[in-house]
Amino acid sequence: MIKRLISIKLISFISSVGKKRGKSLSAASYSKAKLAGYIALYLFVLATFASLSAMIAYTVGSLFVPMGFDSLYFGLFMTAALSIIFILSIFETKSELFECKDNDLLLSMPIKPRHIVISRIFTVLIYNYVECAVIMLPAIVVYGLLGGSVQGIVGSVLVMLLIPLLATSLSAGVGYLVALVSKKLKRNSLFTTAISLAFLLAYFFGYQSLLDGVDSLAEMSPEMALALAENLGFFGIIGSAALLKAIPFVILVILSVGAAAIAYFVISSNYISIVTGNKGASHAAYKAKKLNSKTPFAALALKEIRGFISSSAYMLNAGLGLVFCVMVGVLALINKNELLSALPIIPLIFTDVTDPHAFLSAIVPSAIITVLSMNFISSAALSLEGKRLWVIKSMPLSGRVVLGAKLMPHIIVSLPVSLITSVLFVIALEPPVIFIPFIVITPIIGVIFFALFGGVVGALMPKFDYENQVQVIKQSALSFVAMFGSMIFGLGSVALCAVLSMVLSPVLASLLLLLALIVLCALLAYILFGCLAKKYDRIEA
Amino acid sequence: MLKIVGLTKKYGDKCAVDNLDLEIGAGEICAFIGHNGAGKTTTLKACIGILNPDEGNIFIDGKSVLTDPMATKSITAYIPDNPDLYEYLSGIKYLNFVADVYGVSAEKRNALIPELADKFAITKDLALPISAYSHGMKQKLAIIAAWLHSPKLIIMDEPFVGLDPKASFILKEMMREHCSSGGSIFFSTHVLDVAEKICDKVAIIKEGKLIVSGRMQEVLGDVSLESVFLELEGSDDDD
Repeated sequence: MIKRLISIKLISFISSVGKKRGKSLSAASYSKAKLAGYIALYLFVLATFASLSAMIAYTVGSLFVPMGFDSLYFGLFMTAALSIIFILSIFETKSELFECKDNDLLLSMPIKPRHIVISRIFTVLIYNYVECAVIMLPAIVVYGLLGGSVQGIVGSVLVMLLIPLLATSLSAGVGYLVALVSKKLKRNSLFTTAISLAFLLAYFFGYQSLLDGVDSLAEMSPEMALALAENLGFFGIIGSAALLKAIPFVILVILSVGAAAIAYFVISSNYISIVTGNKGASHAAYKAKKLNSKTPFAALALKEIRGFISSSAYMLNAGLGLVFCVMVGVLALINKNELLSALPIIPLIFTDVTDPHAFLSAIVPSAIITVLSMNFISSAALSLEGKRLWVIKSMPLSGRVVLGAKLMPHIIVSLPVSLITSVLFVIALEPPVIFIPFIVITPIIGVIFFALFGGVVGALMPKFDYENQVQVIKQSALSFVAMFGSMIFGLGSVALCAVLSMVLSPVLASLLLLLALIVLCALLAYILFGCLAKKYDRIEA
Repeated sequence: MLKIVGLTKKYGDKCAVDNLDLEIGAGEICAFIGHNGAGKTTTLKACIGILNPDEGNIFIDGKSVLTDPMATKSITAYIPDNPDLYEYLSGIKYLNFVADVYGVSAEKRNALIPELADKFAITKDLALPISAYSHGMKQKLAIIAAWLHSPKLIIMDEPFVGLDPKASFILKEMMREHCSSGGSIFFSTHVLDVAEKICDKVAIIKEGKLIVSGRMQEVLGDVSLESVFLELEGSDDDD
């Protein structure tokens, strides 16, 4: 039975790549070319992350490995991998375990709840193994190239097999607790989001403290530093385990397997009560209030915003960049003096830069845009209509109105964040006055650009068949295209702005970026409200 | 009110609806009957404009669903067989959303929503998120939403499924009232007794083809709808 359940989940997982609704994977219509395209896209995404990991690994490794700080090197990477996988999979595990549409159906069949739990966790575990491999494999390869020991390579590969198990068990445990508590809450999506954000902030502050600690260790003698590092609690255990030191390795195995066993037994024994319990609904009787009328567009936009804030998976996956954006602005303000005192370094790196203050001021708008590019709220909006597509399709709403309203959550939640970040940067950087309008306006146009870009991607490759929202928001081809397309555009705009600032002038570079964004917005709007609106009108519900 | 001309819809090699012609006048209720997979839902969806026909055309109040969908949708309402609604909205927010889209005035919605919600006994549940609703409650909400903008034509796919006896009775009453005031209803059902009692017209579809349509009494003669349906359904098998 477990095998069958897992195979069903795997088929569903694979189909979430981008299968068209109503067609089986083997259908001729699912062309080989399209499949190859999706595979290429996923490989590209994995390669991008792996390259990033390799770059960081090389920077850290070239410092630590020659000094014999192997356990520190692995400690840093393994802790980062564990934390990232754990945080990113909390809501995914909760969603997979407790919010799948077929839970009631499966529970009505002669299937043991524990088998359902295993099959649900299995796909999350596979996903987490892929994420772990993307972070860890480049680090292990870099370690080998830097002359690391065979023991370290073998040990780190073994630890790499344990990390996803531990992270998935922890996220399942937290997901279970969140589901348990949120059952009793009216706004359970906001609760889940708050919990996940709290973990994320804890991770950033914790990791920052860890890096500060590593800096302190670097100032000590190698022997003392190593002795101290290996006794740094879990960080020490995981780093030493990667070097196949017996006791830390056994402790890690016991922790991972033990956490998995506890999570499995606790969730299995309480599965039915959570899945079939009420969903935090308030039982207060409705009291009639005067209902006000709105335009159809405003009503649709409001519905979209309610849909966004009702889903923690949606907010955390597609809108996490908003948190980063504010954090970047706050960090710039906190480190204002360091930022300004670092200006003279710029001409040493870029010899063509004559006015570093103006150069940095010209780069800031595209830097904010790059952080904003981590938001891809509009891309999933159309697909999330799912089985409810009949509602808006049967209403007198044109494709333009529907697709326009789908952009609104992205624009409405991103604009204030963009504005706040811009103001923080203006205060921190004290740019020449001429750059202030660019720092404020360009990111705003960037927000509109990313909303339109997401809207175009979402309308080009909609996916209405899904078991839970995560399949659309996180695992679908459309989310990959929207996320990476936006990020590549953001990074490209920084590079282009830097080059143009040196070749032309910082002011001209800022102006050209703004103009280019406006032109691109017009182009995307033309595509979205032209041919894609017509395509929407032809979609069958 | 509704005129279907040569409607054909294919799914791959399978012809779900084959050259179907049907007409329903103002003030008429027409039952659409057929076995599972006969093509009823496909026809109803094509009428509301959420499924594109391969051939033929559909006219509502003289306007084509294909060329003027906004005009036809604004005077039509649709209730599907399985009302998947926005689970994150409360019942009242969903109804207000529907009223906004159809441009129902604030006065009208403030009067009509409590009236209809009281009729179906879901007033106290309107503040609940739809995710907490049972199938029947969702069905009631979909019915209220359909009636909100006083459509000329209401298209329903098995509307009595999931409704309690009282709600079924109220729906039948509302259907009659709607047609008395000049509106029309086209609905599919497997409850032949109900169809026989409240409908002016009946259309029977088999394997995508309309095998009988006409005024109820002409089609029935002296026998029941059940007898007619079973006889027609079995006619090919006998051959």
